[in-house]
Amino acid sequence: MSAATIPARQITPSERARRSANKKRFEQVLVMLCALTVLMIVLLPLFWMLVSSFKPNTELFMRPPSILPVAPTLEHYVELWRFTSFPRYFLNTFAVAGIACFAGVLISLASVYAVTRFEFIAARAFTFGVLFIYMLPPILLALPFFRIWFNLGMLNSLPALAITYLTITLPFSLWILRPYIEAIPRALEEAAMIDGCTRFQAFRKVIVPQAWPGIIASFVFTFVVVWNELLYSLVLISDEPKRTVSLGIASLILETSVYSWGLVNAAGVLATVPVLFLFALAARHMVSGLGAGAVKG
Amino acid sequence: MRAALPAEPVSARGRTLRKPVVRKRPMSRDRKVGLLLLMPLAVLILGLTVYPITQVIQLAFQQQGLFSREATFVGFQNFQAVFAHEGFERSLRNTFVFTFGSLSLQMLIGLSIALLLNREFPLRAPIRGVMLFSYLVPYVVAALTWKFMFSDATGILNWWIRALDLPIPASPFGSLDFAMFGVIMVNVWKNFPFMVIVFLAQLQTIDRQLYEAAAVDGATAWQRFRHITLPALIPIMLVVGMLRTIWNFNNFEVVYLLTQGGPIGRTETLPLFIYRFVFGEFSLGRGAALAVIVFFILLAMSLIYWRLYEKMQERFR
Amino acid sequence: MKMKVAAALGATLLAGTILATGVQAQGISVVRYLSQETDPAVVAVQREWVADFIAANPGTDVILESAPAGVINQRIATYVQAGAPLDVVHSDPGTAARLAVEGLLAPLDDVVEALGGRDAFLPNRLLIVDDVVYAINQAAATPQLFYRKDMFEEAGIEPPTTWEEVRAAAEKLHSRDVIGIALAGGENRMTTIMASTMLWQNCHDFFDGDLNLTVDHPRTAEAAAHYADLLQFSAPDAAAWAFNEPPESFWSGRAAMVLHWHALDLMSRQNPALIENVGVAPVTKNLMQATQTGGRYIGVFANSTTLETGRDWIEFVFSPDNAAKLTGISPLLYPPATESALEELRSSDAATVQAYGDVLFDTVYPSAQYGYSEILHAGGLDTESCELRETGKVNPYISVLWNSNLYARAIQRIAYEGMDPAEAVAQAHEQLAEQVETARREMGNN
Repeated sequence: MSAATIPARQITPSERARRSANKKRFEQVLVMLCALTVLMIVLLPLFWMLVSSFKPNTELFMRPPSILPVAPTLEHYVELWRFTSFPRYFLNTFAVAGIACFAGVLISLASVYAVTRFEFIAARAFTFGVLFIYMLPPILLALPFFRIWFNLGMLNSLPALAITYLTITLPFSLWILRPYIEAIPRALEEAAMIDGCTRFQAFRKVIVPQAWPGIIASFVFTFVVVWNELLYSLVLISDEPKRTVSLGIASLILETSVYSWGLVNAAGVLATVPVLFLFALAARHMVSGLGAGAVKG
Repeated sequence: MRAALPAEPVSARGRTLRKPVVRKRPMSRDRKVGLLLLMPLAVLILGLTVYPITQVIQLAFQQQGLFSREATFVGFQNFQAVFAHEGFERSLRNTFVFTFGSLSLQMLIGLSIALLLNREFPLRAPIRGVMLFSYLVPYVVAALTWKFMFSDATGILNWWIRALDLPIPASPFGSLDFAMFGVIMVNVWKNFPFMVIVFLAQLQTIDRQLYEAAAVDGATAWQRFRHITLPALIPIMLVVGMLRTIWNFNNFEVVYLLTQGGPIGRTETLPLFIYRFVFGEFSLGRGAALAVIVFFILLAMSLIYWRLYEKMQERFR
Repeated sequence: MKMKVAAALGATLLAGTILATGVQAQGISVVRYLSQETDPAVVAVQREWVADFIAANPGTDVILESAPAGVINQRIATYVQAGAPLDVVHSDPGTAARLAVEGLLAPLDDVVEALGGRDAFLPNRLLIVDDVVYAINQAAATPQLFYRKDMFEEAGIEPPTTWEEVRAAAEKLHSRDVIGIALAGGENRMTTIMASTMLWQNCHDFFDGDLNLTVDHPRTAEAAAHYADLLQFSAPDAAAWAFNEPPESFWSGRAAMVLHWHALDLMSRQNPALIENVGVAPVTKNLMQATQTGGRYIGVFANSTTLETGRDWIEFVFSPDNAAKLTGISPLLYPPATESALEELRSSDAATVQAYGDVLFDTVYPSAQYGYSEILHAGGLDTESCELRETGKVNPYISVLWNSNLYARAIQRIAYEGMDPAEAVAQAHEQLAEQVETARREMGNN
């Protein structure tokens, strides 16, 4: 080879731009593949549950196990629908979630509004104090709750269960909403009231729209908690027709139960779908809601 | 009785400037409205938090026969019995291992994935959404689906571990040494998305220009992370760290549904230990005493977190 | 102003919803039937019963409640402590025995008379304290040793009848793909009950005739060690096994043997094709032949506000036609309660009876003669002559044994931590003794 160096070819600006764009593209695809790999690991159990719910019983203990159903069947879903009370459990859980979500949002809004607008007590202590409630192990509170509702004659009552859930969901709702409502300048409200609104109208027109992401976040969080919760419903609900979905599934597999995996998987799939659906609807709001709270909290 | 009003703006000459605000109602009436708005919360807190706590504290000092109607006061006997129980130290240890083992993994994985998802790449929005699915499924579903995969008769993971003769137990939940690991992994799988959401939201508030400026100055990726990203994340890490510590500590469902505290108490955390007293031995007094102990432990830990948080706020303000 | 109105409205709405749920229909006699049944097939039968009962008894209603055993017992305890009424309860033997001895259940003698009198019932069906019937056993099932005829034939083994034979068969058949004997090794009732059968087969019991704890004894250590030894031929994760895994292992074809009450009933639902390959071995023997007589006892609380309706419900549930429905879907778990029901079953057209009726009538039902009811025969196991006999004495402390799971824990220690059997058993005895004494004190105060 000649000792003289070959002068480097000039790289035009457009070519440089193209090369860096390609590099960026390549990086992006790499990141996407990484993300997809992680996603597959995360979703593997859920995918497996879904796929297994369509396998007949005999296929479930085939050796070696099949990945996809060899003879797909809907028999487990049919059995779930016709021979168990799962449809009823769904209704029950929606009812409880509805009450908890609406009551929770209303109470949170009212409380945060009151604390931030009326200069009652140190706001800092309020924020921290509200999280204080989380330190109580639910297992500790399950029995006193049982006695309280028992004394009020409200055992096996879905509204009572909803109110019980508020002890779990309110702290978070309050925590999420506070930064939103704090951030709204009082001048806005005052302006609205000068224009002839009552305080309630000012609340509805000024506060609520600004706090909307927080409200959504609170709503979704409450719904997810209610949907997934097991301990309180186990202790407070024993009427078979009043069970929630989580309790229904747990009843299939707890203690002295002998169960068929097909049925349990089908129940699991059905129990997961509504939450995923709700979340897909509210996804964007939830992320920004938590973010804002984090920044200002 | 009234809290101090915020300081009023002062002009250069020292005279107070009032904003031309027209207050339509006198303060006292406002306060009534405010109190009314706070009432539901107060009722709930008093009725469903303060009252049960006092009940539990009362129970901790009592003993009542299974089917008898009177309770007798026994002083600190329940506490002594709990401390002396052969399972106490073990469940305490298990709880700390479970709590902080889960927490560190949740943070690590949550942070890594948040950093990953913070970058631009195709299909980012749907991938972000689907990444959170495991957080949304009920604990029952999470537990049974992992049990199913490791089940001896029907589990696919169990089958492959045995077929390939791997040196790990076919099912962690039945292994004395791996049960805690198994339980932590399911807990991490279930809850890491919470960290992802929080970190991601925080990451998106960091000004891009900071990174660009640092890159121009010649900072490496690690340096950029250490000096820009991390300081922005530490306050929120402490807050969610505290929350998740409490949640992990008190978590009953995940461990109960997977192992019921077994085998031989290897995964028996404090909530399960409480369950054993209340639903296994029917000794409510001892269960309550243990719950009181747990409460104070958590209180202490929360105070530590709070102190750290305040320090960090000062440092990074 | 509007804010106040809104708040008041909201409060009223909330209060209204709360009150609405507490309203009871007027003039209807409501019976709450609290049980541990979660199997959808059984619940379906229960719902049929409710519909028929209400049709036959206008002005009544039956509400089905179910929860796991630990939760149910706590629920009962809370109700009783508060002096609140409970209705019909269907519970495990230990709980039933304790409730009866504490005087919380109402006598059921007239119900028994209406069903044909005490003599019409097969053994171990009636919970009798001081010559009064307080509960009737709906599920007097006896654990059997189910085995795979095809696997045994292929290996050239005879159906096992003694401890040594069981162990030898399990060892021979156990491989990576086949589980020798599907035994549970978890800290739960399944382990406790199956291990109990081995204790009795070793001519020893947990309590003596005076209801003193006798767990700390060489024969107990032997029995516990035998169970722990067999666990090595069970699954690798048997330490986490409870009620579901052993029969599942068997009906899925993975296990060569299983000790269970109704493995065949379950198999007929999960894997009917395998039934023809299943055999039932005679009740195992060591120093004596013995198995358990399980139970789900139905009784009604004395302070129930709808006591008569509750009694009617119990009579309804045990009347031949209604009981036959349950027996039809699971004849091993819910064997007939009366002699006549047993005869009726021979000509039943239920799928289960058609598939394995011969096993039922030739082997399983007759094995009940070796069935030892741990609650009904306190001190009924003569540890000198190694015989089973009736004592008419009820043991209310079994619930302590069952709920605490301490015997299961001892077996786990032997099997998985290599603890010396005598030491493990002594430890269990010490902890159990404390709880039994507490129970004794509590019951003495009543």
